[in-house]
Amino acid sequence: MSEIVVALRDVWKYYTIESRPVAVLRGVSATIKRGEIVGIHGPSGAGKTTLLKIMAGLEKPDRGEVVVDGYLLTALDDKALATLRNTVIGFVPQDAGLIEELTVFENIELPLLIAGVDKEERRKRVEELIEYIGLRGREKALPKYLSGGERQRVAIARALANTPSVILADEPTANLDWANAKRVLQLFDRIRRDFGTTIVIVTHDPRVLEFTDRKFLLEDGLLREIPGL
Amino acid sequence: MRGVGALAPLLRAIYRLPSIRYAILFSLVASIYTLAMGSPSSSYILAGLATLFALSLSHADSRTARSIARALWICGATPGLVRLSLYSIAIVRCFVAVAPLSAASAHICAPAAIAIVIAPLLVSVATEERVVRRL
Repeated sequence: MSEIVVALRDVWKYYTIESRPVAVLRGVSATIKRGEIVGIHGPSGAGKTTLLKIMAGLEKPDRGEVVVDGYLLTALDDKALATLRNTVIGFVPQDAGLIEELTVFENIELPLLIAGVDKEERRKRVEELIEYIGLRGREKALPKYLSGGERQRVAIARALANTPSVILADEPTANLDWANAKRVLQLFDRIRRDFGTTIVIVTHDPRVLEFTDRKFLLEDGLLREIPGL
Repeated sequence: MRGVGALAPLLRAIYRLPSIRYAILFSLVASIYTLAMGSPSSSYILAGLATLFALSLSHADSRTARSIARALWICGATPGLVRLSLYSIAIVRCFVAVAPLSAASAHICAPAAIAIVIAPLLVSVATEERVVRRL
């Protein structure tokens, strides 16, 4: 339980705004242990999504080191990062990021197809995941026929498909009412208990932090832990 | 290439786009008509209309292409696979758009007919390459 799964060491990220480099992250450091649910809170534009994308290997920091499950992300090339995103890291974007023309089944199947899992095993795994997220009977539904909460659950199942060590969720409750938001957060808690997955949730909603083990505040490009928020 | 099997559902996704289906149908009819008619002005008009029709539908397809690329990228597809998926969509869209014009031109000049297919394909590939770099 005490094994460190995510380590951020002096991470800096700049964006160019009106031809000037602006530091969005200014020396962010933190460690996250296996099986923890961690919340990263902060105002809009604080760099929460940027930090999450850096942890996912979707963006590269300008300075500093990021280690996920023993892999030094900052030393890997694009191909190795892709393999890691497929097997070690699950990412849940704010808008769920589903392919609208593919069914629930096909969307969840995507990471398994990329991993080269054979057809029978894929079918079995996707059916298990659909059952797990409570969407049995909706396998053939297109995302446009799902509610916001259901879409998020499909995105979570897709992130979980290859049983990653870490799931990174970007504002997973932002577009949901509180009842649906709670269902999504309870699902994260269940995933942590059943699979020992580390979960990092970025949120601007302080209520979400009640469901996390540790809370961080990202403000002015700096990350600090808030023990009793 | 790892995960090349992911292209099958993607091609299915492309085919499920109503705009692509309409464009393929219209393009097919226009191409057959122009080939059958020789090269009268009416075949050029029809071919031009088919191209405009396909291009007018391409905005939605382009949005879909980007959402597919993003989903693949998130799920761990290699840059090569993302590229391949975007190129597949671009090739389908381009071919559908220019097939009737190419068919109409084939009566006059075969190299022109080939150029009509190749040129937009190269432009599309360059455009999609920018998308890959932004991911």
